[in-house]
Amino acid sequence: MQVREIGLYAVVFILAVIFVYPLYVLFLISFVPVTYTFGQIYPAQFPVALTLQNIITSFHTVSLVNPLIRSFEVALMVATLSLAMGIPAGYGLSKIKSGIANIIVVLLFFVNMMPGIVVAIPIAAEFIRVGLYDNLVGIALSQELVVLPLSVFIMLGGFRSIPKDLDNQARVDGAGLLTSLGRISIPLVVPAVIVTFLLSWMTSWDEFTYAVIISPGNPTFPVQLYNYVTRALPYEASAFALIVTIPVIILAAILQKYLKGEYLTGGLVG
Amino acid sequence: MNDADSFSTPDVDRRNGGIRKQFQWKETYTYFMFIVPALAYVIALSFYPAAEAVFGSFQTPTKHFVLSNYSAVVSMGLVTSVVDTVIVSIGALVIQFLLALAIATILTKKFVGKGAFSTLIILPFGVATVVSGFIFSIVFSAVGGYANSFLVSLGLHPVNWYSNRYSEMVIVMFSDSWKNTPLVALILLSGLTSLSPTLRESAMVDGAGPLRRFLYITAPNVKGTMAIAMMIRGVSEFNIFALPLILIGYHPILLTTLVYENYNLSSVTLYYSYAAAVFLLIFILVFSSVIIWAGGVKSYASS
Amino acid sequence: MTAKLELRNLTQIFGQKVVLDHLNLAIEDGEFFVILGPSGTGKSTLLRTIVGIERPVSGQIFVDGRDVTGLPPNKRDISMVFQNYALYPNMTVFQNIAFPLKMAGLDKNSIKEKVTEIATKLNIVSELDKNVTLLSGGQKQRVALCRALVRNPAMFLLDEPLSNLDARVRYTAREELRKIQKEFDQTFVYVTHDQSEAQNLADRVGVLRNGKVEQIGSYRDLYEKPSTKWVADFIGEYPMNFIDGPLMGLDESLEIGFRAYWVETGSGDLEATVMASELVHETYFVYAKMGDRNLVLKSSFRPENGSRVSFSVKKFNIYKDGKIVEN
Repeated sequence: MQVREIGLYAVVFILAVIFVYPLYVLFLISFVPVTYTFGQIYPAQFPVALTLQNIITSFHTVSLVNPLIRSFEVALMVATLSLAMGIPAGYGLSKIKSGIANIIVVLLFFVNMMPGIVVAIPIAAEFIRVGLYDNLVGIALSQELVVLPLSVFIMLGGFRSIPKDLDNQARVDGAGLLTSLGRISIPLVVPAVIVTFLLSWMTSWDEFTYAVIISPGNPTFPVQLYNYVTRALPYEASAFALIVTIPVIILAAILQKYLKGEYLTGGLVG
Repeated sequence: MNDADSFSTPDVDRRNGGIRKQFQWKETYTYFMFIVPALAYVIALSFYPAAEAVFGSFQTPTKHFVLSNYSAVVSMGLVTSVVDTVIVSIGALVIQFLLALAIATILTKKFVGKGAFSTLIILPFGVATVVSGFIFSIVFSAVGGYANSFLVSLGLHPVNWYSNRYSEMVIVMFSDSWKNTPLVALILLSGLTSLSPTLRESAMVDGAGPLRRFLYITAPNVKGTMAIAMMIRGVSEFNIFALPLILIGYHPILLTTLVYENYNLSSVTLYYSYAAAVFLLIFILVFSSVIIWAGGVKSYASS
Repeated sequence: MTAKLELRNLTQIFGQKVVLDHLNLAIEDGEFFVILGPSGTGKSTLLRTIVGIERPVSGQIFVDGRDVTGLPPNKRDISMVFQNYALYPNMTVFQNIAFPLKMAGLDKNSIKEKVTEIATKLNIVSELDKNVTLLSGGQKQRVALCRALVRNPAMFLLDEPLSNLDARVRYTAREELRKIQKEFDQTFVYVTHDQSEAQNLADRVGVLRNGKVEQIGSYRDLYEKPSTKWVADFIGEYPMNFIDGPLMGLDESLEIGFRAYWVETGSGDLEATVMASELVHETYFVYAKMGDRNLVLKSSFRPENGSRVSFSVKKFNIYKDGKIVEN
């Protein structure tokens, strides 16, 4: 028994190291003086000295703030769109015959399988025509494709978990369809609403394919970061990477208790 | 009691106008209206553009029907890019599933520091793909870098990770797995926890070792969950784009990077990129059909 | 005077199963009407169809002479208490009771007044600020009742509202329900499978069988003069006993039905073989066989198992082809 426990802890330790190491490297290149990191062929594995100079210099040399603001706005739009379409769709699907609902769910699943780069290019061609190319609304509209199916699944799961009689009772008590939805059903799916919002937000924050194709001239932060990397600006890139990673990591840690397989697979599991 | 006896005479029902049919139609229609925005959106921004890409792949800028777009992408190395895409996708899937299975199995056990462990493991999920690509480009450099620094400190020879296309693809697989293993682990964990522990315990009592317990008890019961995780991840693997773009650029070129390299809205190569895109599309359709046909999802749904 | 609620040829079919089969029923104003039937006979479906949650395949529903068949539930002026009470978990007790009034568009002051009034009457005024999820079963039932009563609708439907309560609370809740119905002088349609509830609550009882009303009457009528053998079997703590007509000098096509209580054992012209006996309080009930008929007989003594017990029937009904023959 003892040996097996030691084995377990050894595996846990090795896995933990593997998963944390890249973030540790990000920490090193952000806070250790350049002479010990990029200045060395074989950089030090331990923080020999710490400095904020890398980050301060980066802020002076390139614009980090604008892409962040853009990403933030786009993510907000995407999350809002997810709720605006996901809540009604989830509600409607929970009310119609489950056979038909499942067909629609499968249809949405197909959308999720559609390669982003395949649809992004024709979309870009269309968006030029309607003035949404190099435009934040354009990015949000296209990124919504990535999150809408999952949003609908999550909301559908939420609405299906409410006892049916509550809605019936509200109707009996004199509420119309929309009143019952607004006053009874939606307040009861608040956790699903939060999860949908945050997952959509995070997905958009991370999204690269649509962003780089639809709006190369008005880049969100992943696209800008890519530009810095390809232009060989590693200090700026590392400062940037650190700034965008910290909040999302905190968010992921908070979201952890909601990040159940059920949500991530659209209610198909569990 | 005989249903046939008590069954209503049809003509009475008809005379009363099939009230319920009327209502059901009206109600379904009302609820359907709630779904329409999402559906319309998806059709307009996903199905329609996809169809456009397929048509575009057979067109010239002057809208003539041609097959030359396809011969153009073939001459750019379409065939090797298809092979490489398959290698990267399968390789990344294998790494992810092995790691995820290990993590999920560990998370079903009780041990000190489990909470901290699961938080640590989930962190990469929150890291943007582009950021992870950047970090791994620092870790794996052609000359030096953190990975080589580690090898040298162990007294080993440094490696040029970009010396051949297979080691380059391994870097992509590994970087991708770092970010996506947490998701797979979570999905597998939900499958494992839904498994009754008494099943494993009784197998243990029956004298089955860990490997046999996994093969005969755990694996068949998480088959459905596995298939779903496989489908979700597999589709994304074929679409892998930002990571290879940052880590290896266009050498070797994958299907997605081939599409992107030709992407130029004001040039004839736009239509080449459509042709490459069609291959990617076909690929993904075939892959998901195989997974569905393999019966995982079906057996899960019926269980 | 028109009936409060009238159902005409109401038919409900789910898939291949006929749940309500051309059901006709008229319920009078101010009546406490209990719909009684074994589980799975469509009692709940009947209520849900009346209130408008389910749509009938055919037939009509009238409330106060007004055809409401085509109206959604919120336009029918009918209240319903669901079996699990369906209290809105995101609201306090006060907000739950106030909900129908809010929907009716009343102003804040009169809502507060009415909610307090009804809550005082039902003795839950001290719970008004609590979250409904924290209430006991009995309190939940009262909140649901308050919410139904507060808007003063044309009538009330109750779907086994006492079945979720434990036995002791159930008896007091039953009494209270009866009192409330009389005090508010309202029409209650109450669904249950519990005969003692029907016995103690109902002005009239309708027995539901295979989607049809088999018999309507006071519980006493149903007990003493069940119109069919099926009702005779279903009503009462013991099924009614049946013996062949010729045994009591009647025609061969007739059957004699009598309750276990309607006999005197120890003497008489009829004889049966004792299979078993049980003591209930101070009386014995004897399970006996007469030919292939099973009988239950009340007795003041415990006869030996396997012995023959003689008895006489003091009161009986006559049945022909399963239906009662009026005498």
